[in-house]
Amino acid sequence: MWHNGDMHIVVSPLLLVTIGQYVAFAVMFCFAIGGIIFASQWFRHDDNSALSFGMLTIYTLGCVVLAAKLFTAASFLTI
Amino acid sequence: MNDGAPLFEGESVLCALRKHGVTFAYRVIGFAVLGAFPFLAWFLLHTSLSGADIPLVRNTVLFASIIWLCFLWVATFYFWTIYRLERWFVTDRRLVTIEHAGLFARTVKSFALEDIDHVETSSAGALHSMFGYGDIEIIWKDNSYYTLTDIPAPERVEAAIQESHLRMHNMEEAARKQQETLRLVAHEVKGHLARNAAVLSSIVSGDFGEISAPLKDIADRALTGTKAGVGEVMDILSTEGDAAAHVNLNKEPFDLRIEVRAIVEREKPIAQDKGLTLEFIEDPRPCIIMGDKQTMRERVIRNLVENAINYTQQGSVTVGVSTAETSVVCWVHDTGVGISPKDMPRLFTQGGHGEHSQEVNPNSTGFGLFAAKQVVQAHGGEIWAESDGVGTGAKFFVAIPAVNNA
Repeated sequence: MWHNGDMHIVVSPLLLVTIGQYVAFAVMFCFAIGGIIFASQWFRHDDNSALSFGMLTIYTLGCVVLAAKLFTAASFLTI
Repeated sequence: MNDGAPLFEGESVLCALRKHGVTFAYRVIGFAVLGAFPFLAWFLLHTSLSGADIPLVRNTVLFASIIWLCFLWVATFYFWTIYRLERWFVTDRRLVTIEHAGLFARTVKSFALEDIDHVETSSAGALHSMFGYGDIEIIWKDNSYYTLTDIPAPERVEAAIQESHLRMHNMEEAARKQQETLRLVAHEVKGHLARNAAVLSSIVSGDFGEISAPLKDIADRALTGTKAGVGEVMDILSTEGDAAAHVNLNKEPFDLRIEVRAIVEREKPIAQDKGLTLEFIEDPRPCIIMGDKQTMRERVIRNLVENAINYTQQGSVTVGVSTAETSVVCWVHDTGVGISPKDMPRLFTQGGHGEHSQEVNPNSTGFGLFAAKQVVQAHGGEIWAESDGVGTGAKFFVAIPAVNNA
């Protein structure tokens, strides 16, 4: 049983992985691949490594926040 | 610093450009507006469903909103990538463009500035004027054109392109005039040398009566040197482009020892006058190579031996030839000024003087070793130098593929 605020959600083991969670995993995967691609392009072709490193940090932090929120939303969809 | 530009040796960047930062800011503002939609939807949902709690609807909207924000987040960084990586460089010779059509499609183009016909700049619109950016259209001589869009300070860039274009034009003109002068001078010098050669030849052959043996010997040497000079000038006259680099070869098998010995004999009096010992060590076996013996003798061996004498104040110069299984090696060792590690890389380059070489040898043109390298390479060989540094003397080696005469 997962608890969220005053709402109780009963999750069947069979429904544990739902479409929402599949999508959440896919988005996370895209984030990770995107990060690798962006970083590879910046560090290879850009002449400002410090800026590239800064951008990669901002990108990753944004991804972590969005991914965490997405997983929360995906979990709700398991109802 | 080349600022990330793919440059040729000696090329320098005049302007390194990318689109004005405000063009990326427009996108960010657009994405921020699009990113506000989910919050608006969220607000409307709360307002319309006041009192009612429908988790499925609420969480579906939340889920879709985050997917939307994810998309915008990645898109922002995608456009940041394109913005950062698209570059234009105006160098003193070329316009180099780096274009990105997507994350992986990188196209680098290079345009010679000498092919430019004219350049136009335009800055239309309130935002363009406010932030000071615009487009530059470069029209080439064949009427094709290339446009640099959203460039900051386009007038400044246009001025740099025009200045570079003008400088290249002037350099071409100067090179053409220099070439004409060189050919004219070479032609005149050839005339004088040829007349000298004729007179010396007459003296040596006894047209002016019997002469003493020492005088005949001197005249003979002078005739040999003059003929070599005529040959050199003829070489220059027979070339169209870079006289020093051009090599016309008349290849035949010959024994390199004979040519090296001839040079050593010719240079020996000069070395002796300077108080130097010029020694020749030769392999007892024939040192046969395939090549142009006159070019090899005059442009390579003579150059190396004369250099050794010119750059040695006291001591000795040793010249040698030996043969191995696959190559014939000629070496010139001296006890002269030596070569500093800094000078070593530019030794065989065009016009490549050592830092203090002209103090020792004011007649140095900086083309001798470059020309020698061209000749050696045209023979499929290698030329290199070794030195432990300034004041330690130098060793020059020439290796040419051997012809097996067994």
